[in-house]
Amino acid sequence: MAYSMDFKKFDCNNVGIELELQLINLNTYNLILESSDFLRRLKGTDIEHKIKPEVTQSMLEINSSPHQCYNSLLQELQLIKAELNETAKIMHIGICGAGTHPFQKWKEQKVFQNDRFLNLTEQYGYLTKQFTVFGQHIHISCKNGDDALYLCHALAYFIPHLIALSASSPFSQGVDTSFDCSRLSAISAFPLSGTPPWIFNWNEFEEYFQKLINLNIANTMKDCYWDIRPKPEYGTVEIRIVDTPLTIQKAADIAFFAYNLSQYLLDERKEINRELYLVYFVNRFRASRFGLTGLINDIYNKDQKTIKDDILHICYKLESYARKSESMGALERIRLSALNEENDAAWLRSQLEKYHSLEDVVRSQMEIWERG
Amino acid sequence: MNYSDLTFLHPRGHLFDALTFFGVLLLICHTMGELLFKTKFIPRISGYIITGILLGPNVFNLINKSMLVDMRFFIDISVGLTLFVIGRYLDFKWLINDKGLLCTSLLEFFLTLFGIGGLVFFSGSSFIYALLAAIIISTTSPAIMVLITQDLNAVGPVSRRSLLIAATNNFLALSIFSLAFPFLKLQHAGVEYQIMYSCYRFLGSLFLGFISFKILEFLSLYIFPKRNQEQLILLIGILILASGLSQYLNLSIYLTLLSIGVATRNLDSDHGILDYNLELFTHIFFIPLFFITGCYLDFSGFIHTPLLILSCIGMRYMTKVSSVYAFRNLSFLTKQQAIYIGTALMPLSITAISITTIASDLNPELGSRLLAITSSCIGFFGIVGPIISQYVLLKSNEAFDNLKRV
Repeated sequence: MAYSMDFKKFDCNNVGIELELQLINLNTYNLILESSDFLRRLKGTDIEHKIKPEVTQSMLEINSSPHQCYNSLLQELQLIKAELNETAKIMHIGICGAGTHPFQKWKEQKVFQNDRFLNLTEQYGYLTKQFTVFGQHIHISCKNGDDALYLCHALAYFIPHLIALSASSPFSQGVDTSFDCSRLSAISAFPLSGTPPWIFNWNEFEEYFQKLINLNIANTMKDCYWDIRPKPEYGTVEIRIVDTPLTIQKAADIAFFAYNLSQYLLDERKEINRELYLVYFVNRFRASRFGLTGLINDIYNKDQKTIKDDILHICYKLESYARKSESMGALERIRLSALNEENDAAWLRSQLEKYHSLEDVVRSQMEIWERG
Repeated sequence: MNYSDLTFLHPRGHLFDALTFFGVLLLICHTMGELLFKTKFIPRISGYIITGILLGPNVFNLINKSMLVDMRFFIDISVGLTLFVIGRYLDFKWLINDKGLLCTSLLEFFLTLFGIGGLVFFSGSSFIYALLAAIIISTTSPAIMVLITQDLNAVGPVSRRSLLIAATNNFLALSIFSLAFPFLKLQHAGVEYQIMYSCYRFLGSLFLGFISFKILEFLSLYIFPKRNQEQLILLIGILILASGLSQYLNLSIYLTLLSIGVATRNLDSDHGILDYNLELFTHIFFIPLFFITGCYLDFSGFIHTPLLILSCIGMRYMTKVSSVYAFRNLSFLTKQQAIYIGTALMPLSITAISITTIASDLNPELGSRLLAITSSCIGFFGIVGPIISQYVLLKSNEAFDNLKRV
């Protein structure tokens, strides 16, 4: 069946999230390859359709419905979490957030056995196993395709902010990477990663994408691993660079930060300077490497500033939007996180300092997931 | 100058002392295991056991009893490590959270115990004889499961649950054996004395295991925090010490060591004890253990009491598989998973050999009658069990080849 580029329409603005989670062996604290058994056990429960497999068998993805206000999203996520935790308890498996598992070996991972992931393995070989990283995808509804394309580019400037706020992958393959977010390097290896094309008109974008299909480069939008991409079948823009936070609350906070920001950008409709993409990858890199203290180039004001300062500045502008989406508490927590330069990566490093073992870091990740 | 002048050329001691024997044994068994493993359907363990059968008294008779006695030190370390490793798989938290698994574990052991015990008892044997035979034949070998899962890199629901059930099975078997031991050893003593001794032996072994764990925990937390290699040496020291003390105090060495493993898994609330990587250690020390199992195997029961032996084998398979199957819904297992888990429990525990030997030492008449049945069952499951277990893990798609192209 041909892939439809018809842009789904929503009556109201909303936001939804996908969250990729880690399944943990409670004896070794390494990843455990039991997602297929986990999904089988969830059949017939209320959350059956909200949980999906991910590329390798130690990953699970939870999907929320679209929401207009903060509390309803948080409530839904908490219900999903409670059901997941119950199943995990019976299976003697742990669940946690964070963008990477600190010491899993990618070669020990097994690809989930379904057509899509087997096809991915056929195309990308070992990259699929290296893709055992855990992200949060934020879907923000748009009125039409043109709005979605505008938002894709308007949000590009704020990608470093979202990376720094959500960064929770300082450890990878058993070492402290010195990055706050080491997960992005796993994504960059794919040929269709990067940014969407400089197109603002949906009809033109349809033509562009049709060319990709004709050239056998992509079949659906899912094949494009851009940092932000339009999702016509959902009527949304999908932000894909956020690390899975350590708690449900943080995930909801970041989702509403992105949502309020999007509403602000769509309302302001400032002209977007193409030079934005001159500094895009450098800014993105600095956010991954240095987190909230990273210096970014502001192409509009022709200066440099720390991500932290810019977030504090933006938070001020987003207050009216946060009030509207009943997410003032979330905005305040984002502000404090920036002010104190505290993201999840910093917390994870503090746990390593406290326990001196990556196994204990994973244990504390599970504990904070259960509490938060 | 002749040869007698060149004293440095004169060998010292015996060519086949314990150390040389251990080395030769490792080389031969390991090579044999590897050759068989290359066939894809026979596990390495079978190679070790078959080497034991070939070199032992049943075929070429190259191994005599004194050689095995010389190996005692290595065997003790092997058994100690094995039981500790087994204990680490017994996770009470999991059993409490998964009621189905708890029921399965209990039913699997007791159904097999009563089934086998009943068969032996109604074939005209005494109660204590039937009980001992039932304990020995009911025990599943987690050591075989551990080695096969290591060999195949098997990970998944079937292997994890099989190991837990096997660990519970061993804990129950050793506890009952430990309680029954005084009744076997002191058959002519008063009941009150037997009960007192039984309680002392059972509770004392658990207590010694607990104290050993507390020492291990304290030293791991405060002297060797988060240092894998140092903690491993510490562990070996504790296991040897606990074995020695247990023997000195007339307690059950097996139960003591097993309970140290159980305690480290369940009572280490400060997470001071690391998850030791004992893979290499266990492999090296499991080799002589399986070799000796092979040496002791005896299939004469198939000639003298074929019906009873075949009934025991059939009963053992049926009770284990049906127990897992019975509670599969409570445990949310698929039919296939239940059958795989039940079948994976087939290997008979290597401690069965030791239990039989202990029983023989204590009561030679009872021991020889016991050996006739148990040895044949041990022989059958010793050969067939590992092959079945490996087959099941391969079928359940839990084996994993790291070298295979992605």
